[in-house]
Parts: sequence; C-alpha cells; structure tokens
Amino acid sequence: MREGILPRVSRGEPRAMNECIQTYGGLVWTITRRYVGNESDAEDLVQEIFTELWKVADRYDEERGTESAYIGTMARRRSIDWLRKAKRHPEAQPLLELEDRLPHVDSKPTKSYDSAMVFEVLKKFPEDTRELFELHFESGLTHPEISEKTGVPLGTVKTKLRRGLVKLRQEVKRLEPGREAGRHD
Amino acid sequence: MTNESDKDRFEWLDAGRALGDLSPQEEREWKELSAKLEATADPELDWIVSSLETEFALRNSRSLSPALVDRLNDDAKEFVHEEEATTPPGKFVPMLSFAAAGWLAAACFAVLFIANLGLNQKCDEELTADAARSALVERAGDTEVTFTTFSGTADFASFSGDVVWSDSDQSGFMRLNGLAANDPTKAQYQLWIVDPSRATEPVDGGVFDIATSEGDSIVPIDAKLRIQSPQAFVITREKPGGVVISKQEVVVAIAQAS
Repeated sequence: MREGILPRVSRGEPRAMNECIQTYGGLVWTITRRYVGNESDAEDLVQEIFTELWKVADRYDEERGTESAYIGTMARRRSIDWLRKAKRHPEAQPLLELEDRLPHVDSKPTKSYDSAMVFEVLKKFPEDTRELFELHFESGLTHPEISEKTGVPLGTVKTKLRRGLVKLRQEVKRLEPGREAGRHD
Repeated sequence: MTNESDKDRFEWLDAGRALGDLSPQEEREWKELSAKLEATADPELDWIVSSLETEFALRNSRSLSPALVDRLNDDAKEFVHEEEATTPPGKFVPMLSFAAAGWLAAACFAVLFIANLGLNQKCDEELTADAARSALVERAGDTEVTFTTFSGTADFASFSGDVVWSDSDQSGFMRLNGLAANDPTKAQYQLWIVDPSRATEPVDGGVFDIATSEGDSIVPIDAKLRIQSPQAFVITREKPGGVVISKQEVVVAIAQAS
C-alpha cells in the first residue's frame, strides 16, 4: 500500500508538501469558506491551517482515521477559533465560550469515524431531515437561513438537526460496536 | 427533573453544542447540567459533525487560487528538509536496443550461474518494466488508456519518445530516445502531468535520470496524485531532486493527449 501524504510531510519531503496542498487544499478552502465570508481572510486562515499542519503532521495516526478526516477536523476547529477571535459570528459564540469544557482539539474516538460511512448512514434518513443536513453542511446555511429557505419553523429546524445528529451517533455505534471515546494527544 | 430526563436534556443540548446552535440561555443550561451530572462534551458528536462537514466538503470541493497555492508552497519551504530535497529518486529503467537487449539477456543468464542476486534482480526489473509497458500499449485502444508521442522543443529536436498511461491502473511508462544523459548531481529530468480536473498546477510525475542517450529508455511514471484525465505530459530539466512547482525554464518535450 502506498504511504500516505502526512507521514512524508512530517519528514519534510519537498514534493509531499505540494502533494498535500494539491490534494487537501480544496477541502480546507471549502470548509474555511463556510465560516469566513471574506475571501482575503479565508486565504490567510488557510495559510495558518497549513502551517499548523506542517508542524503537527507527525501526530497523524492512520490507524485512527483518514487523512481527510484529520485535516477536515483541523480546518473546522481553526475556522471556529477564527470566528471566536474575530467576534463576527454571534451564533458561534455560545459554542466557543464552552471551550474549556470542550474536547481537546485533538480529542476523538479511539478509532476515528469513517466519514464516508457516516455519510452513507445519513443517506438513509428521511428526506426532510436529510435535506436540513444538506442545507447546513453542503450549502453552509445557518439555521435561520434554513428556516427562511424551507419555511420550516426555526425551532423545528434545530430539533430535527439535533435529533438527527444523536440518531447518527446511535446508528454509527450500532455499525461499529465496541467504540469507546478517548483522547488523541 | 429526574436524573434520566436531565441526561436526555444534556444530550439534546450537547447535540446543539456540536452543531454550534446553542442559544445563550441553552448554553447556561448546558453548563449547569454539565456541573450537576459531571458530564462533559461528547467527542463522538463532534466527530460526527466533523465527518459530515469533511464529507460534504470533499463532494463540493472548490479549488485554491494559483496565487494561494504559491503562498502555501512558499510557507512550506520552511518545513522542507534539504537532505530529502536532494535525494534523487533514480527510478529510470533503461530499455536497450535489440543488440544490447541480447547482451542483457545473456548477462542475466550468466548471472544465474554466478549467483549475483543483486544484478539478477536489476535485470528482472528492467525486463519487467519493458513487458509492463508493452502490455499497457496493447490496451491503447481502451478509453481509459492514454497513448501519445512526445515532441521535443527546439533545443531537444533530436529527442523522440512516447508515453502510455492507464487511469484505472494509475500507472504508465515513458519511452525516451535521444535524450542527453544527465549528471544527477547537477540536474535531473522531471515529468509533469497536466490534469485540470485534478489540480490547478501540473502534477509531479516523478524525477528521473538518463544514463545514456543511446537506445531507448523506459521510465515508469510516478504520479504523486491520482490522475483522472491527463491532457498533456511535459518533461522539464530541474535541479537535483526535482522541484515542487516547475518554472519551466528548461522544457524538454511535450506530449499532448488527444
């Protein structure tokens, strides 16, 4: 099996750096743009994320998840951090004020979820619930924006998404019994 | 409120936390219940949200601008280890003329008698590369196989060659003839694969050396990214170890895919 990109990045192999940018740049950019409206700010943030990635690539453990999941999670967390610092996104503030109680940035289940598998489970959800997830994660709409677009009351949007998330966790655990939460420090 | 209903309520709020939609009032409630139940945020929920975000982003990935790619590559230089940068991959496999091939076969045969295992393996590799290329060329009529010829640029007019690539196998070979031998300590050849569907910049197809301009050389392609629809193959001459992004100061040859 061909060696992944991140182990080679951690060794400082020059072509691995460019390979990493070419392979995961679009992923990082797409996630970042969901949180950061200003293109110039988003570009600065993408640079920060990759600089961090160059530094911590040696922490990646392929036994515990895919490279895309590792990098996608990093991009999400750094984007949320950016929002907190920029204080431009009041809705995110409640989440971020909880940071001292949130899982560590590198925390994750002992064996990472296969993101494709989570996606497949979601595809089996009722269409109305699935559509809400798609509008939130694919179109990047906030909950009020989803409510406005679909005509579904805001409270119902929240309820269906939260219930859907808990249901997803149950279904994934059912498919992968024996999973235990842990830390990845 | 019973302990069970507290737990249910905390789970409900924690799902909102993971989704990032807690109101200030809910956030206060989350904190109170967290203290009361001695419960913390569930990383499983965070990882499912992260998995969804990653998966949706992968399915709708937008490309980086070339300017941002340049900035990222500049940043990456600080983390490149020079000793790695100057390590030549050395993956070229020369294919010899018929006469030389006969010599090679004889040499391989002789090797069996003198039990020189190292040389024997090299012979096997060379013959295997030739056979693998031939097998791929025979599939050139398949839609997923690209076969095209190189045109040397003005300074390399005597050069000729071809390239065969399989999208499904993610492998391919160049057959090169008349390309000047290089001193790997001073310069090396590098292949680039143009695939706009895959990357904005040409994809690194591997660094290689040419030991002799006599006869054909078979060079396996070592694509660093998955290639989906190659539009062109370009050979450049670069510094030892190759480069991340070519300035195309010395373009040796170009092969356009039809």
